[in-house]
Amino acid sequence: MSTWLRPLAQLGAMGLFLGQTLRATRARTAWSGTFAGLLVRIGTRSLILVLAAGFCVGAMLAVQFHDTLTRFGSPSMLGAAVALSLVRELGPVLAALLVLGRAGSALAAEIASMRGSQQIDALACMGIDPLAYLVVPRLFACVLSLPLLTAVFDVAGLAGGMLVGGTSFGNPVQLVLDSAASGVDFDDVVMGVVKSLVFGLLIGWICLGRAFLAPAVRGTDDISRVSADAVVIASLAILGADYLLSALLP
Amino acid sequence: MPDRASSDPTPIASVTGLELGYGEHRVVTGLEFEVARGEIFAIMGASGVGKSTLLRTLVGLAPPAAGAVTLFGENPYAMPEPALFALRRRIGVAFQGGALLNALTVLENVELPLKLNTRLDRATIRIMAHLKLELLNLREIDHLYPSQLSGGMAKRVSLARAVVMDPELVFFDEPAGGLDARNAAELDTLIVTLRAAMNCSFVVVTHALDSAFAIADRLLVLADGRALTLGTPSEVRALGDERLTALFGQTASGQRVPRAAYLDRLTAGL
Repeated sequence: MSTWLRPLAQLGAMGLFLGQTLRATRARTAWSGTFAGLLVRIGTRSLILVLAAGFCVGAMLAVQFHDTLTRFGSPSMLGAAVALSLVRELGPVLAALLVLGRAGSALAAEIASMRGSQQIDALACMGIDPLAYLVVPRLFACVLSLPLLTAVFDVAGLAGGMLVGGTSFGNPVQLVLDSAASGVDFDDVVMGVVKSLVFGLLIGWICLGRAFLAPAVRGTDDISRVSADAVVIASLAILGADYLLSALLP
Repeated sequence: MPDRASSDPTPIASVTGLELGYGEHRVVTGLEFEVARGEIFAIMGASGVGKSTLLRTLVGLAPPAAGAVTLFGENPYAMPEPALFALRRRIGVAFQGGALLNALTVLENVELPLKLNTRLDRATIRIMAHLKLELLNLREIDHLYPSQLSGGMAKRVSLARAVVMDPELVFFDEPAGGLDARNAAELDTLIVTLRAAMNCSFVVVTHALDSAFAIADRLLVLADGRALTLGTPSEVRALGDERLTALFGQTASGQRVPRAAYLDRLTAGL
């Protein structure tokens, strides 16, 4: 196959993989008891990271916006600027990249390892659809956990922003909080939720698909290659989707 | 349990004009054979000759380059996926490295096919899994995880999982691979035990002459990209010591395996 056709073929295979996975959601084996555990695993795996990163990003935003807003004579808008940036943009994107690095790469490595050790073939030979048993619960755990982790990121970021805005720059905390509350409306929250759902789908689809469709996994080198490829592709997909959603949605 | 061997004279698996390969490259061509109900059928050959690829093709995991495969009279490559999964519930496959799910214990691995393919209650599933573990002398390690098992134990657990649904046909990839002589002989014993206890057929892929000659009713020898010979152990022995040594890189001790005595020893505990 020519170099030009290969990416198209891979894209087609990934599209087929997503379609087959969604079709496999109807199977009883897809909901055989692993979903809740996976949701907790992905959530707890990334929780501390998301909390810490969210707090730091919120604090950093407060510092940056305080300087900028003061120049334009609107330091009272600090809370709104931090909250809006977190809820609409930075929260979904950064939480997605963190979850991708922490849980997405682990999922890709896990499935690639199962491919290499014939565990996926073994499931198929038992008459169990591997897509239903392995991929569906992991995909939906990604989709569902990301909005929750994004909310955690946003809250931690707001806390960091309020703390820095209130203590370092002399703004009354209540004023910063009021500003934050007035600056974010329902559409902004919807935008953040939609983005995080899409990013969760992208993480699950790309990480699981790249690993599941890996043609030959013969050792740790192959597992790390599959995992790294998945993370790189998913990172770009998240950033690209972020632009498209920001441009297309109100 | 009905006598599967005598109730249906049609072959349980068959291969016609089979060619295996990748792209234009052919690894094996012109394969023709049938597996009868109740028999132990060994596929032998040196490393890289295409034995494991043939096994994957037989169980519906790797489409052939040409030719046809049937399992229970049906072509696994000409049926929709749900029907293929249903067909596979009638077979069991024990993989070379075990292919056990690392996140599950031995017991949970063996329970898995029953849990996901049947609507039996949890207690019944546990009893059935325990029966198979008992049969394979694995009851005492049922709480361990695959990472805690030796190679021989992992193969036995894989075999227990392969037979937990009482399949009519069991495929076993390299039972002796990576094992010392004692563990390999134990697995031979288990194959013969299970065939007798469950009245099922076995297709065993192996490069171990001794065990193949000892347990198989018929052997298919692959060499030079084709089926070199297909027949009973005595017919294969007719190839001669030199030829077998050249093929397998082993002294043809299979020529001198006292088959009857070996089988007596294997089945002594039944």
